[in-house]
Amino acid sequence: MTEHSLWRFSRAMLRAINERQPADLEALIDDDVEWTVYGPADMFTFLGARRGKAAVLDVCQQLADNVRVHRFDRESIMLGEDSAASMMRYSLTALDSNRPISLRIAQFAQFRAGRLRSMRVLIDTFDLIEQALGAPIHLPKIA
Amino acid sequence: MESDSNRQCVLDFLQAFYAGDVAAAMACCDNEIDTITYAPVDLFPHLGHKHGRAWVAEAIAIQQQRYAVRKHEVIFIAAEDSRVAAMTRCALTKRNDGRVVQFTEAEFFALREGRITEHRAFFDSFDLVQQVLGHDLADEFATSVRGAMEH
Repeated sequence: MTEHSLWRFSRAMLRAINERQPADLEALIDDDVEWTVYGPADMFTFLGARRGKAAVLDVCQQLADNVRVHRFDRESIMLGEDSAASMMRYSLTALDSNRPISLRIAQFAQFRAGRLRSMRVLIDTFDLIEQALGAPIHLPKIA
Repeated sequence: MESDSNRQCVLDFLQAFYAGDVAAAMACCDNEIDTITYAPVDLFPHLGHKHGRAWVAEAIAIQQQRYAVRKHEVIFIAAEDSRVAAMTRCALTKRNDGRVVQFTEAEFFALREGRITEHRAFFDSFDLVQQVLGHDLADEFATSVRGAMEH
């Protein structure tokens, strides 16, 4: 049985971030890939939308410059023939501040001929910002 | 096939939820449904961690109280055995100022005997907070966050 594209992509992504070795990842990304991590790109440069392999490799480089992945757990995964949806829990460290960050992430990926052609990622960004700040953001209560 | 019926159950749930059909939405859920929507509960008291089917009625009532029009479009759905994941584009029209808040939501469901037993949801919560409050918070925090994160 052939290995699902998601597993190859996940290993290559981890290698690109933690070991700064993007060659495997580059081979697994479609030239016209669409990539969106929903969130405030003016706060975190690696959030937002990208189009094309070069732009996606660039954002992966930005991730490698900013965080290190310590651990990830797959909490829920659904695999289709050329698609995957997963809910993951990541333990990261922000490199400059050495601050730990714990995130749940929803990923929706689509592949074509074994290469990533679409990735959409959703994060509880309010929580991410509070963790990056190291302090809660106080909001008004709305009944 | 189990995954086909579970997929349809989730589609029925989402349709009923946004149509405000409490009975139909509750009928898709197990009595002991466990739900977590990862979002600040000060602003969204119907979200966070909830247990039991009464949450469905509470969530619909709070949304109806705040929003005059609630629309959704399922843009991606995947099902495998007892699990279903959906990505939904939502548009809610606020009653107090008529503005439309829009967001994309990721939802993961686990089902047993044709009913939803577990629900987990994510969205770009910082953006939705800004839309609900009606003002930009990014400037307030951007410098601090960049200082904490960037190389």
